[in-house]
Amino acid sequence: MATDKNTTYNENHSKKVYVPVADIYETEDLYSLKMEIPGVPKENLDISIENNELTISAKSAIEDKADEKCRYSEFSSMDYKRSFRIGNDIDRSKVEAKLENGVLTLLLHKHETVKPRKITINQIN
Amino acid sequence: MYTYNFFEDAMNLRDIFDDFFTRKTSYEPYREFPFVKIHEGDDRLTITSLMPGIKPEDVDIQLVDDSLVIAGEKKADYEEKPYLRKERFFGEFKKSIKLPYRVNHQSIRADLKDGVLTITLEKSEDAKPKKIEIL
Repeated sequence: MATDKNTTYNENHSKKVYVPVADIYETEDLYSLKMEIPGVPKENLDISIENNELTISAKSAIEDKADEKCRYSEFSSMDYKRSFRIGNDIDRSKVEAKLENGVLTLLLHKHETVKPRKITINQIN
Repeated sequence: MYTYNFFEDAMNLRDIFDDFFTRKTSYEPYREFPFVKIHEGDDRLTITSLMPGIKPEDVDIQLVDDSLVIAGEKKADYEEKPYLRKERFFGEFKKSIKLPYRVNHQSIRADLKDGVLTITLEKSEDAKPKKIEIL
């Protein structure tokens, strides 16, 4: 989960593809990933897991209006893409995604078998 | 016979530096947060700003003289958990944007959607050119 394949590139695309910044934490049950992707509506977001690789790609819906001239710009209209290598401890069927105020939260649950389990001790007299 | 061209090497070095400085992630600390974009239409200004993770109540937009001041706080959403990665930035911000002309105070509109703030401003009536009739 900690490894990512960090690249910025142009994929025969008019828009720049940015690597969004992310926060990741791990608990006993899950990995939580928070990523900033402003300007992306839910339907433009694509999350996939393939061969131990989690890929998040998103298309920005910020469009420059044709009748308006750009006067000043600190960012270009951007698409986002970032991949992470994930281990076998993650249950592929239990991934929750939430998009709120331009922040994507992914909860990647671990398999039941890798979760710590408490063993009860039976007292026999 | 080979003539050593100093400039060729110098250019190579420049490319290396350019490459290093222009290779960007969406985290660009040399610009002040939040990043803005200003578009101008007919008597209309549109200011777009990227504000991921900021709620409308945490942003304060004010019109001061001929500037638009966007201030607020991006509140940290860290939890008491062991983090593997911390790349996001949190904190207070304030940015002032000088407007090219006076704007109509009544018709200012600000929308925050999907982490993008859009402010629409209209040119004030007294900033528009006025034709003076000769009697």
